[in-house]
Amino acid sequence: MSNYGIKIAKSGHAISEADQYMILTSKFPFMKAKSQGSLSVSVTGPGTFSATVTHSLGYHPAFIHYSIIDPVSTSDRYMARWEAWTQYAIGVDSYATTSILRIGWEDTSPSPGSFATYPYTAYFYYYLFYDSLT
Amino acid sequence: MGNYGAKISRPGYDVKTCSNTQLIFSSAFETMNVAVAGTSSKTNSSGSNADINFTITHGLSFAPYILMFYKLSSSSSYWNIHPGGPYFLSDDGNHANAHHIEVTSSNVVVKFFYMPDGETIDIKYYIFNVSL
Repeated sequence: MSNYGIKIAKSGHAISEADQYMILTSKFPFMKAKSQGSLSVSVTGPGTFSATVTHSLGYHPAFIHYSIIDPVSTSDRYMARWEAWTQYAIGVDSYATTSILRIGWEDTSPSPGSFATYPYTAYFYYYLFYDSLT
Repeated sequence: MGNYGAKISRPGYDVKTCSNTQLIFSSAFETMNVAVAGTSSKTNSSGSNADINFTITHGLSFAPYILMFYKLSSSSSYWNIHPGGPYFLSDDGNHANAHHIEVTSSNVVVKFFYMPDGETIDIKYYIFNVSL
């Protein structure tokens, strides 16, 4: 029996249709969230500022995060963002080790800042998954 | 019948009354199934700085959402999330440390620009069963 499992089709579609029209199919796995939360760093001037989440997985887990700053120059929330404005870099450098998730915010703009006026706070909203990268 | 389907709530929440964010699953919403996941590795052995490209044929009939991570041999214990987005030029006009992802209905192309000689790049990708 090669075709078995659970399928739920999108409204207006049948489960006999292609996978892309399924809300759920057990043919494919889900990413499993271990934790979610928020972090913040105070960006006081040009430099790199970081925050970490400790996990006890013992391997490199997958993750995703979004960023927002306050005072808000825009209401957008950014996925891993990296930009170069003329000669200054504004970006997020995030990575996972076997014990932590580190999210770093870099702004090399001279005072008073080009992305936002110093000081400002960068907030990070993250999901950490059980799924291993290795 | 206006309220039907399948729901699974988080521990401690009543599936009949909890909010959508307190659900683990609801058939009312599209889920991010992983259609394709995998790893790949390449080394710049050109003797000088060079671009390194990965092409992943995903076998889907649409341009999918993706999640990409990478590890450089020069930072061997760190797995970075790939920022996606367009590359930029550094002050000297090089694509220093710039990365780029292109997604089509047949391939995902990951580009690492101006990688140093001897650098090895490992990637891990998740390609979702969700169309862009």
